[in-house]
Amino acid sequence: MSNVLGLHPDAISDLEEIRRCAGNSVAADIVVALEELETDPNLQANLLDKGFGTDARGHPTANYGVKTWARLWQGGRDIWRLRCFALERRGPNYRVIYAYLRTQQEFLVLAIVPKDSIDYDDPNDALARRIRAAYDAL
Amino acid sequence: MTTQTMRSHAEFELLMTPFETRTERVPEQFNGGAKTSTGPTIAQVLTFPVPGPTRALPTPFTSLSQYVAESEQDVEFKKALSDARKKFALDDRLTTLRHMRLSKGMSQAQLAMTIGTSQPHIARIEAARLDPTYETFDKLARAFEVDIADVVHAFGASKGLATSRDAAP
Repeated sequence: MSNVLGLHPDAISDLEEIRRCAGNSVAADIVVALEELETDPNLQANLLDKGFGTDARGHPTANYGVKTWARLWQGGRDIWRLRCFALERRGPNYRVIYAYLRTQQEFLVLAIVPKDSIDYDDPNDALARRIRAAYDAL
Repeated sequence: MTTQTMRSHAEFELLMTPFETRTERVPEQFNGGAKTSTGPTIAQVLTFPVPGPTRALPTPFTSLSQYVAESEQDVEFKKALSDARKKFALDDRLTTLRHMRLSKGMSQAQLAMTIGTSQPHIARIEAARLDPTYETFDKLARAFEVDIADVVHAFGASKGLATSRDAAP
């Protein structure tokens, strides 16, 4: 059985921003990628598989790539990053940042952002701070 | 005991629509040990989609399906979503049921509504965790506007994919 995917209001704002800036087509691609993840238990099982979707050289081996956000993960926050290679092949290059709420077994999307808009290693990065605050409020 | 509140007549009717029907021999102990002159007792077994308790997402999260439903009020975005699903179908190497659905630009929820079942039922069929009945295959064929043999073949492909996934180390 699949788990419901939850969207944080900030992630919804991100999607609306993508609709405004990149167009409905790009935003719809991202929404459908998430929709397929939500409704396919086989795909969803990969969302907690660190390193899923890439080989040792970082080349795609599946349609999705999954990594932890190392700095926050090591700080005890269950936060993951998702790439959709199927989308990247067509152009849009975004990252979906999500948390896994283990007690509820729920995937919670905290942000959907362009690839280069976030510095994962900088604790003072504005987006990183926003995401951390959303996670800490859970 | 779980109390389920039906929000509409349509929802009630959906609940009362069996997922699957099949015929089974009834063991004698369920038939009072009675023997009939016409042979073993045969019963029709109906499987109903009993919804589990709805788990609330933590505040202030919204479910993706709710976001999609609200966004689809915008006709242009609804079309963009349909087009996006068709693009995703192109990524599939096999003609599975998922491929057929996406090729029509449909979400699982939309397909479920079209054939009068629930989204989790569609998810189980696509993941080959459930063998559909002839009636279900027929409904899917009508929804996809293809021959029923194509749907059965696509289900076989879905099942083959699931088997190879399960066998993977």
